[in-house]
Amino acid sequence: MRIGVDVGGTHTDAALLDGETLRASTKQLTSDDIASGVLAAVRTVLDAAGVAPAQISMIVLGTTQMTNAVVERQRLEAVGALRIGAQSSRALPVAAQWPADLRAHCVADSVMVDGGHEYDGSARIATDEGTLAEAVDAFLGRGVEAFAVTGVFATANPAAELAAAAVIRARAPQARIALSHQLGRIGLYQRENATLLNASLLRHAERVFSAFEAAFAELKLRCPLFISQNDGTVMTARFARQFPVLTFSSGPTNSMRGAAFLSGVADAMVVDVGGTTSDIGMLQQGFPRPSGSAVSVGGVLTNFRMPDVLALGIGGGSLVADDGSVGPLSVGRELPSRALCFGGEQRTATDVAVATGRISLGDRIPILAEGLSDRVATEIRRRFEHTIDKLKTEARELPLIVVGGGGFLVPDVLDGVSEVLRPEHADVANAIGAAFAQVSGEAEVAFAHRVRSRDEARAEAQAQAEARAIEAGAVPDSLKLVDVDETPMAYLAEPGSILATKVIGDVDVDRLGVHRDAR
Amino acid sequence: MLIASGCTAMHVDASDVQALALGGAFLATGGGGDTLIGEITTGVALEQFGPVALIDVQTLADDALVLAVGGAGSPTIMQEKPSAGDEPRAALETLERYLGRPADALIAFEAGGMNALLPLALAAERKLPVVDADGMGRAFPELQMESFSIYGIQATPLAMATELDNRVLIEHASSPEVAEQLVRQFAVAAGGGHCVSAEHPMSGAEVKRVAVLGTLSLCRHIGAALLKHGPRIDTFVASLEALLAPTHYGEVRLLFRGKVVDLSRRVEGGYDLGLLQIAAFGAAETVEIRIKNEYLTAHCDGQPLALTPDLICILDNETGRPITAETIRYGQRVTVLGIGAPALMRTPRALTVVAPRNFGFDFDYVPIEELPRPSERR
Repeated sequence: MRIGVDVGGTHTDAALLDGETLRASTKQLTSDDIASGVLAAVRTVLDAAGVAPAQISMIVLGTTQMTNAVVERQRLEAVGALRIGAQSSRALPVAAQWPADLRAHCVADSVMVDGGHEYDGSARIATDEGTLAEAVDAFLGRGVEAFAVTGVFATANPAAELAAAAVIRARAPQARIALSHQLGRIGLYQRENATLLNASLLRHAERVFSAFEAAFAELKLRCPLFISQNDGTVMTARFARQFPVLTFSSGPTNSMRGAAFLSGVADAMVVDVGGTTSDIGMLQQGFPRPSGSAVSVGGVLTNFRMPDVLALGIGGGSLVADDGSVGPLSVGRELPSRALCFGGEQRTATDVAVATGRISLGDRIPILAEGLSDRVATEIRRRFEHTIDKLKTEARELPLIVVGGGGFLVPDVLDGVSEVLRPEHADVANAIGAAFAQVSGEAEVAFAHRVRSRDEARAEAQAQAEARAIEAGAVPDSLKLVDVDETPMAYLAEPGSILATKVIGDVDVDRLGVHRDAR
Repeated sequence: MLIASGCTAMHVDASDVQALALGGAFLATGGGGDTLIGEITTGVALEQFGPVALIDVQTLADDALVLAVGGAGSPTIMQEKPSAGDEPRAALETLERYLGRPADALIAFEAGGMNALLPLALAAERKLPVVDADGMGRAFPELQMESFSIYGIQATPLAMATELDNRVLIEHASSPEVAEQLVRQFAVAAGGGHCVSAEHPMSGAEVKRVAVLGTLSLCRHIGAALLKHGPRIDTFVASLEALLAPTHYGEVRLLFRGKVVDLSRRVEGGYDLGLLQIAAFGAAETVEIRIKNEYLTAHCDGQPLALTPDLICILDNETGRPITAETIRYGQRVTVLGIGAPALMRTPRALTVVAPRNFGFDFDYVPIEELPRPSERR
């Protein structure tokens, strides 16, 4: 049995699943300290299902704490930034274009040394380990204990970064170190940014995820703890302690994954209707389609790809004007006090649904002007259809899975939609999505076409991605290749490409329950 | 000696770099690479060395020495190896030593992409003015496609420099095509995929004859308009029409809006070859864009909408920003714009070098103004 927990800004949701059966779920207000609310939610579903903690084989937790630390500039550690490859990159300063306050919190200072690699993994000059060691000593002398190491073309060859890590470890075994080749793809600036943020979060992540593990142990939950990632997969808590930046933006992903699980449909659109907005995304093979655009976290451009979600200003609390227009203003969380059906003074989209008998809610039936409900229905339908059309990449009709508390606002018939699916338990789809997440691994290989074939390069990238997924907790036999992305290196005399691959597989609960020292 | 009396120059400082980079990305027609790195490094140089004078070509003395500078190689590799920062100066000074004379002004050989910015960073360091002009009015992949070469200016003597202080001077090349090959080979052999070249030594009089004028200030204005309008592409297009109306560029057309539904590509002979299909929202109509580093041709149902050297620019509907051919992805929602090329790039002489057949396509150039307007799109 599994427990999924999703910590959101307003609610902490938990779901307990036995195989594919939902045994219990709960929605609670998020506590200020996060952990006590999570524990309360977990205890609630255990009690409600009458399940002993020993029967739980895994817990998956989705949390915004790492994102919030960056956004709020809290609990960050100033790190020593080391760049290897000064001879190829000196013109680009470390942490360029960062918000000044975030840079002050994250970066103690930066040092660039010569070295690093070429796109094919070769090295033109040896890494200047003497200067590197001096820099490390100077940082340690200032009390800096966390390091972000970024090597030019470390994605093609991690050797220079690994050597730098060894230099640091030899001097300070306790140092916290983030290496860029473990954090993404080609693009020195964005990858270095992610590495700096990651290094800066390591101490906080250690505390947060250890605290969860300790708290769950107190509940006699001895199963492995997993943490949700931005791409809809999970990592072990141990992995999350090393890669806290990978938890960014896991919320929308979990609700889309939950929709896929609840409906049993892997290729569909998903709409999550909340109090103020509806988020509409696309599921492909059960995973959210990633956005093509770069993503900024706390004002810093990173290389993470987030789910491609379109927000529409229609939710259960959206205000309805006399002409039938809906939103974007909303009573939001105050629906139970301010909506007409609860005796309040505001006419909301929920009131229109109550007046037309679509749902029954509150203690009175709102009286609406003649024809208003028809105008509202037309307006809502038109706007959903417009957004759905923008989201779709092909003319063919697709199913639409409706989740979230305001799902009743979505019409049963929509242009471009083959059928509207309203699975049971859709209100806790995010916690269910967390519980059923799988494990992924990514890797990229740069290659010159003269030296190696595309198939060889792809096989190597896939093997590396699989090794990472297994390290992150995947069952080796379950791994599937879900993405191959080729970036051509144009304008070269000798043509080359960069091949990025991603694999996904099931969580290896047995192995992780015993052996938790993957890295 | 350099600047005729009584004329004042515009200045470019660090606060202009974002707009210049965006405008450069727009005029790059999908090529030229992501301008973010160039934006950061040029901003750093202008902050360190101070603003640069951007001078009207008419203020150049006829005997002024003008040198063209820019980067050559793979923009993808520059994402990882942004440059040490010394290469532009090394290339320029190598050429100056050979010529026995310092440059009076610099000029961009390409106003599209990162190469719109590189001359400014170097000019700031050397306290030189930059001529408000370039050699393409857009981006093209090869040296012989510069208007300087097209109108008879020798690319050589040409100096190149890479990281780790590799320097080469080409005293003479038998053709622009040979010079192009030498630059590309050097970029790979000595720079791991990238080098900076200083080339096409010209007099002020020659620049007036062979350069595409006003393009750097145009970059800045287009970038400012992109920043101002964001995802409101319709109002951006109206601004763009107003900006281009008094220039030597041709007509602006909004060709298509849709989603990228297919992208097949391969790299061959140093080209990023691609076929991009963009489908109208909720309709069966599809536009095909052929890519060779840049977006070169746009067709709908076999009928041309715009053809090289006319510009094909693709904007992301979510952000209103230009999308490069290297980063365009399946599923992106985009708007395709077509712009008539600058007059200098559509002459019979230019069309012997930059027409569709020069890129291996089996059809002739027809100016965008003579093509049927796309039907009313959604």
